[in-house]
Amino acid sequence: MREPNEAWFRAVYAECYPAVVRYGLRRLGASGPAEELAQEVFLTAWRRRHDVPDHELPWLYGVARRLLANEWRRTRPTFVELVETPAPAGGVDELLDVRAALATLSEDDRELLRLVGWEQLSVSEAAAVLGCNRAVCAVRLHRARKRLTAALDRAVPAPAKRTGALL
Amino acid sequence: MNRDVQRVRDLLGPADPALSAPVGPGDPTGLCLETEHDITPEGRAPVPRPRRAPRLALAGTFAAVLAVAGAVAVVTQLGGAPAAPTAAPGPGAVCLAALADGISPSTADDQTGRYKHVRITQYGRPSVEVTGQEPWKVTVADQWTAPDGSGRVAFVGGNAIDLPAVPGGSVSDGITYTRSRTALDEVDNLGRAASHLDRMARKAMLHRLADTPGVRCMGEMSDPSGRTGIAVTAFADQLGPNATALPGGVDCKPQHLSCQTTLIFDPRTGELLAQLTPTPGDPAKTAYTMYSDRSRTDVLGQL
Repeated sequence: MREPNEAWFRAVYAECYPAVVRYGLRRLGASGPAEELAQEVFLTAWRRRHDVPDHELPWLYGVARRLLANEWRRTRPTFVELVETPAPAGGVDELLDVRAALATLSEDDRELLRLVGWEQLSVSEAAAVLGCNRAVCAVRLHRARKRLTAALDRAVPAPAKRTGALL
Repeated sequence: MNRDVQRVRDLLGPADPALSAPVGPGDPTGLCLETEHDITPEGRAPVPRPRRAPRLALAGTFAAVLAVAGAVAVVTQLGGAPAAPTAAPGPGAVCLAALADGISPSTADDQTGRYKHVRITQYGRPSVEVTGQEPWKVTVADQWTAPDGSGRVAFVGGNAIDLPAVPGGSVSDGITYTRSRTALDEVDNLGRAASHLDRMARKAMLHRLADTPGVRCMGEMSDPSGRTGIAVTAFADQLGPNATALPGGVDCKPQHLSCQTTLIFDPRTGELLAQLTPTPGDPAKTAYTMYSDRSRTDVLGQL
């Protein structure tokens, strides 16, 4: 059983910090706020170090999600400037289409899809972040994925509006 | 792997905004880890903090300690009434959130030491509830507090009292995030807990106040010693949601000990400068507790 002391905290920080910053980057769109969010997440982890499970990352994502919901979303824009993002192999249009389609879904759908698609979590891990059981999460993922596909099949956003996407 | 998982990753993967974002290695050196207690809303076991001192216990030496620790009673004015607010009144969320997001480290934040020190200046008669006859009183004391709650209170020109450790907690960081029933209670309780907080705890406290309906920004305001800060205020709920002043003769007891509390924060560091409690119908009498000279030290004050 690991002892949640400062050495443990430093190890967790070193291992998980980049992932938590990227979590923030995907939702806040800029590195400064993402790093600040990560600091808040790890301060919470330190204060609640006796509650942190051995598999820390999903727990940290859960903290980040609550912080965003409680504090950050109120004051921070979630508009992602695509100019900061490198073009993917499939081309800019494809990237824009995927993000535009994602933006049409509900926040619950988006967060589940992001956790699986971007944070690379399993269904069980995503369920832990979202506070639901695995079976429910699997069903929600299936439906969210179908809604995303349907949204992609619908009209392509006008080029004039392709400067960013609300994720 | 679950087919949906694989399809989602295939679909979203290339559109990941953080796909190629450079992120440096994690280094927790700059984090302030001294706040030992959970101060987040999802905290499991907030540190209990007595909301009110038992009034009959306000006697003798113990009464003096409690008075310095937080009890604000009806007091007289020193040096005239605080200056009127001068700028940007409105919802507390506006000025408090801006203040929380922009606070800078204070002098004490950059110091190290076992004890948090703060000078506390109070004006009033803390045992007024006992007899109602005590004269107005000026009390100035230096307080040193260790993480376990132990420390010392030394009254300027008087005696000093050693404080025992608090079982299971720290008085200095003991912000409880159990939401108070009313805005006035929230302002009272968080104001009392804010005598000496580190930067992250101050930020959390200010955000918490910003999220409290009924807390209003009064703009810039000077405390009784002339320091200008950002003031927020809350009225007792029985005065109605749109109260802006205290009518004469109004009494908010027993629900509250006061009808209005105002907090003044340092606009740069977010530190609490003063907590004011006006007397209804008598603007010349305002109770207040002022905080100054915060520092960190390894040396407990001399008896």
